Amino acid sequence: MWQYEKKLQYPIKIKNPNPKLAKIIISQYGGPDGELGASMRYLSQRYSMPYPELKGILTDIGTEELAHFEMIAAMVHQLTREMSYDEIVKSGFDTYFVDHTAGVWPMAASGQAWTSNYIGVKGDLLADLHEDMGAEQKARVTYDNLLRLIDDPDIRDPLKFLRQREIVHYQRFGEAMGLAAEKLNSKNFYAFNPSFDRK
Amino acid sequence: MNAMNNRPNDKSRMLRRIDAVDFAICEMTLYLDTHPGDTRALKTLEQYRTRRSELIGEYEMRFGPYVVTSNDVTGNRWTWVDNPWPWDYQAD
Ligand SMILES: [Fe+2]
Repeated sequence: MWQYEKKLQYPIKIKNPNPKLAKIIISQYGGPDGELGASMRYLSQRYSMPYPELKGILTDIGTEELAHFEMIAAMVHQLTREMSYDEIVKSGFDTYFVDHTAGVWPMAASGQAWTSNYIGVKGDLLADLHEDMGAEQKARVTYDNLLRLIDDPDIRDPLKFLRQREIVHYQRFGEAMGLAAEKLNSKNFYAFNPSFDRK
Repeated sequence: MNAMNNRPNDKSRMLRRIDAVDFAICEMTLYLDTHPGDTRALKTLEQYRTRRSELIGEYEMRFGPYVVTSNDVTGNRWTWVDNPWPWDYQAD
């Protein structure tokens, strides 16, 4: 179960609203490599993990991703506060506004709704941990792309924090993969999971 | 709850101090998940935890509940709901 702490993991304080940037940042809320998918992927994968360290790391990273999900929402929320109708139209936010007003809805910047097709849960520790390492790199690239497009230091600062977290998560999943590989039979150098097929 | 004696910046300054300790705890937690036998890391985490409970205690005395379960119910208001919520924009 979970308990809410009444704060963000890292502060969000954006002085200047900018609905145009909200429209691209929302991809890390509900896009293909966003924080919602990250959290759902890890929290769903942990049930079929055979080793305690793997249950632990997926629970704790999955929980941290929920905190990132909230930080992205706070950014979108603050970037879309006190908008005039004129700004909404000029910024191109009108296509989002017509469906969601200034609510925060999980979607990709390119327009698709969030879907569980963004995540993989294969029920196999090697397949899932490989997915997780790739997912962290894809999330890191998305943050790199946002940083390429955004100048405002109030937005860049938390984006840089989040980018760093993806790098740490990648590192920890790499170690988890090492732990998993150690438990395989020493002759199993092609790294597949033989546990289902043992007669 | 002596909220009146607090300057407007005090709360966010206090939260930043908690953030810093929480960040260290978050890092140590993930590290320990994949290195559960590292006794030096366990010691380090213990020190951060002590610091964290001091800070949270001070925060809750001055600014109200940090988690819903510590909301003071001896007064006449459920202050958990009070603004600001974490995503609200607040000028310094
Ligand atoms: Fe991550």
